[in-house]
Amino acid sequence: MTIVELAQLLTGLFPFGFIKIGILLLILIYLAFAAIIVRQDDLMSRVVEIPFSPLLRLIGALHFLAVIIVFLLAVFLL
Amino acid sequence: MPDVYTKAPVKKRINGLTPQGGSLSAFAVLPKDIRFETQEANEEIVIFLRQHVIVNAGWIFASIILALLPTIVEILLSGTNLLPTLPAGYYVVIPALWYLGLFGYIFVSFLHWYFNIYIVTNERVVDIDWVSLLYKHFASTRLDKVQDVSYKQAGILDLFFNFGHVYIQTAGSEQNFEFAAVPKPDLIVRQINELVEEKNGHSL
Repeated sequence: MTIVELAQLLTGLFPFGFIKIGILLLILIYLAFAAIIVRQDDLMSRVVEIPFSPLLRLIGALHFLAVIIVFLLAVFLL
Repeated sequence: MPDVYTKAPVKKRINGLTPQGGSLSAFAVLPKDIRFETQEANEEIVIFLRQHVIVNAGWIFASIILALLPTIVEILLSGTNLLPTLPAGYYVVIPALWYLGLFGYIFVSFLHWYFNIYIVTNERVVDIDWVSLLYKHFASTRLDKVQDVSYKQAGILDLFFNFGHVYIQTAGSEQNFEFAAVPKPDLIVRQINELVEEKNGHSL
């Protein structure tokens, strides 16, 4: 079996498999981005103490949590 | 006597300034509830600055367009055969990912504005830059090192919304400072001059 035939077989079995893998990779990259936001938000809140900052830290954490939920949705729904 | 009958505390003044602006403001004078990392015990924030709110117009406008884009595309393509037929799950995950990405863009843009801060205290000038997610810059100079303060307003927007760039030159090899697109640049220059005069005993 050649590589082309193998690819045709796989796409025949899982027509959206490659799209799913692509989307999952995209979400994983975005998850890293969301983690960096949480970390930097925390660091900056220490550099300057502003009363509004705890709310921003909470929003950052909720954003990170939302990315995890979307990742799980992609795993189970796609 | 109940507390409600006691006299309200007299607002503190420095160089004729009275406290104004909150923690979300682009221009706050003598803010009580804001502190920064290396602030000394006897040091008091006189002016707390961010870029003028109008600098956020670009990303706010882009966000509105990006929020409406999926709906617009759907309306435009609904009568045609161009919309691909996907399994039901994709119609949940793809929009969720789109709007999550949009929220991330809005949040980072806001944080970028919120944490790019310029501070003038009774002791020094502080510039805190959050250039990108991975790069932070903190710089400060004492008021007695300040040699010249000037400002520039160029363009219709600058003049209409009264914001501009404030340039602070310092002595010798010390780093020069630039407060970019800050509100009321004339007032800031005047206040820094007065603080330097107070510190050095002579005007710039």
